[in-house]
Amino acid sequence: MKLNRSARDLLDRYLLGVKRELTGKQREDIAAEIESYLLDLLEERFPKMEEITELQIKEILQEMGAPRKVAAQYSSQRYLVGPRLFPAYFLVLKIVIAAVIGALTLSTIINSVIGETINVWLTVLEYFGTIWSGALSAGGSITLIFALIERFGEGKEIKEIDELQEFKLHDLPELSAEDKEPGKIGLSIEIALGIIGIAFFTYVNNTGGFVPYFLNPQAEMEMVRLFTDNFLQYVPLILALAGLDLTRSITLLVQGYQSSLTNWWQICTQGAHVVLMAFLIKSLPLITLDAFRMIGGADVDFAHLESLANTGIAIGMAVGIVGTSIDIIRKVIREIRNPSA
Amino acid sequence: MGMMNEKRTTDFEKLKQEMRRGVIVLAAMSQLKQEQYGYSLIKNLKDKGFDVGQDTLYPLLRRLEQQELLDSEWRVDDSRPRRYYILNETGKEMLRDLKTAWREQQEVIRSLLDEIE
Repeated sequence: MKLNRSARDLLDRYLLGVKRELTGKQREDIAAEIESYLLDLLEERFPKMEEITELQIKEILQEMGAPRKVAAQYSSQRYLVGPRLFPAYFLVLKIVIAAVIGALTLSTIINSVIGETINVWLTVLEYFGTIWSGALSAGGSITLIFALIERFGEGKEIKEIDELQEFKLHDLPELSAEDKEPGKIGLSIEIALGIIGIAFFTYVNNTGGFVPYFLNPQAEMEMVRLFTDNFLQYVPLILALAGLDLTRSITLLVQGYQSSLTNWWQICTQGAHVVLMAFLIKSLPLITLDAFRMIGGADVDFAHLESLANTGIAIGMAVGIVGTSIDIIRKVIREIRNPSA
Repeated sequence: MGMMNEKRTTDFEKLKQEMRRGVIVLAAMSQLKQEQYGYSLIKNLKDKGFDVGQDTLYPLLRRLEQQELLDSEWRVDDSRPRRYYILNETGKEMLRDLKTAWREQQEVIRSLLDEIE
């Protein structure tokens, strides 16, 4: 059996294509074996033909498939991060990204409290931008490090990685109350409070911080200003967060269990609450009792009362920031170590 | 209904492939007590009812050779070079062990399947 010139050229081009996809000493040998197989196949397929033409070669090459595909059968599967390292990689990735996000959140809070905030929305946007680039570069660096370990540590034992992946009984998750079904009564109360809160702050937003005040039940209702402009600028953000909390509670009530999505959802909104509280502390005073001072009548030092109320709010929110931050850390660690379904 | 049948057929084919994957080594090794080149081995297995493609068999032969279970050599035959493979002594021992393990597995599977009949 002979191959005519164009058939031979086509076969040689195919074999060259295969060789280019292969690496190592065996590439010539593999290509020679493929050629041997193809010639055997041609001989069996076209036994009576004295000369094989391009047409017949094309037919069998089409059956074989692309040189890349053929060569891939001979190469061991290539991974950026393979199955051996992947569990450790994923654990480290989650820990590092959570730590980076936590550190950046803390730095944003400190900066916004200490520094001069020109525009709240700009700061919030900047915060998300920083988080995105921080998480992306941390994730990229971790992936690169593990890809290098995968590339150069192949077949070698890596003690640190093995230790990280070692199974320890005390690492098993605790069965806490949060693993159980979320309480329907609690969720219903949360939803009701959420709706009342949204309605109240929408009302306050529309009235420009004024609330109804009844000095005398027989007299006509009066509107007095309770919230300052400093507070009002944050109302859209408060409404957005209340909306997110409400949607989460409804999701939990409908699905009937805590999932990874609802847990991370809560962690994110809690983080946003911390930032919001920091901004609110910075924007004191949040409430004003000026209107009561003008109404007069009672022998009360309203200026002192106003300052007391604002200080009380500030202390409450500072405690809230600390408590929520601790809760966030606890939840993040829990979700990283034992992710929900 | 048609889609269900199509899915069932696809799933069946996938599971059958998975089941076969484990025994290709045994099938190939069983035919290599005598010297064979790749194409003749494929033909031989096919004639005996075991269909295996070149894309599976050639890389497998290389792996077995790397594991030092096979010996190979290039020889010019019918005015064309061909690579011939044969089990070496280690390969023969391995085949014996695999055959025993396969028979044991077969017995276990047989008794498991008998339970459901």
